[in-house]
Amino acid sequence: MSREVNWLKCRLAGAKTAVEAARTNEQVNLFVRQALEAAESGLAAALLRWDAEPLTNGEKSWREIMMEISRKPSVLWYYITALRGPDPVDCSCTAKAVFTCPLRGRCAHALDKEEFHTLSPEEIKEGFAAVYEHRHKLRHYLQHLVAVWEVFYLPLAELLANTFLRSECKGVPREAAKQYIELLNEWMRGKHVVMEEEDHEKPR
Amino acid sequence: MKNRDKEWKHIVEELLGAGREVAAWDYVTALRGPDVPCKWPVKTVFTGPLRCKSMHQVVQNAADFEWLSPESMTEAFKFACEHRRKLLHYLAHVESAWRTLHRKVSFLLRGVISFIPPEDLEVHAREYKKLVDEWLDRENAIDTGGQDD
Repeated sequence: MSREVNWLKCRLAGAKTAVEAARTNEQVNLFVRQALEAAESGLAAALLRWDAEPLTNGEKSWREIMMEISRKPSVLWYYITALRGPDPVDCSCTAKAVFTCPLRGRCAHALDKEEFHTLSPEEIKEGFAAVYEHRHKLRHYLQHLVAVWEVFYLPLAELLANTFLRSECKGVPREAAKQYIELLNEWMRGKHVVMEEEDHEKPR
Repeated sequence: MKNRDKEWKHIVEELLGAGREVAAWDYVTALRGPDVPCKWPVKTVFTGPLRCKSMHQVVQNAADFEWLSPESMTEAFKFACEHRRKLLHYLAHVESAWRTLHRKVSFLLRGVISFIPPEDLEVHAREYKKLVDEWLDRENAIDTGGQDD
């Protein structure tokens, strides 16, 4: 832990002690005491999580992903506009499971990444073929999808753009599906939503 | 600050701050325009007001919605009704978003996407505009049942 981070942790511990002292002061009124209680428990939780291993992208929820990129408004915009599944009726379920669900991370109230994990490699390949067939109808959705991966993990964006948007793919894109699974797993294992150089080069 | 002067990110923060995670989910999933090709006012009418004051200059937002003529509003409603099967997924997300923001808008949209759409679409379009303007003028993003009117 760097000296700066260590110093921040000490300050946080100090803040918790100060809040605790204020909360236990008899002259503090009930309303303030309740607020301080909440603040204290928040600080305690922050201290507890301070040394914890960072979550991998595969373990994060959509809210945690949002929180991580919240200081970059344009990135956040790309992300949230890719969270709804595609609208066209044909093959939208497959496209949603293969492409939307992994981006959603954990999500308690809608189909999430687990939906993707239940698919076999063969089903993902079939999904790729179905989306390829309907790529013109799905263009608006696919553009949003590529835009978010361009920021999150460029190799994945290039793969999707080459397969579905640039018409460079000949025939059924089964090979692309295999690469997609590999790249997506790489991103899921990463610890930064916006993958950095060091994340790419980590040995598997 | 009125809703019209907020950015979409503020609305998300307001919903999450109030512990309304499902509502925040409904809201963010309604922010992308329709994927199926539509007549131009459709996105402005249904997505525009939800985006409020846009953080990104290139996208349609509440300001574009306000400039729309009553004819364009009706045109968007007619298109949505005629193509409701194709637009169902998109409109269902828009309707869900309004459930927390302004229930009356949600009820109105339910009528539009139902199996037997209303005949008087012009009246519906006018009512929609009135209700959405009402929400844009409010300071609370969440529908309080008229307490902040």
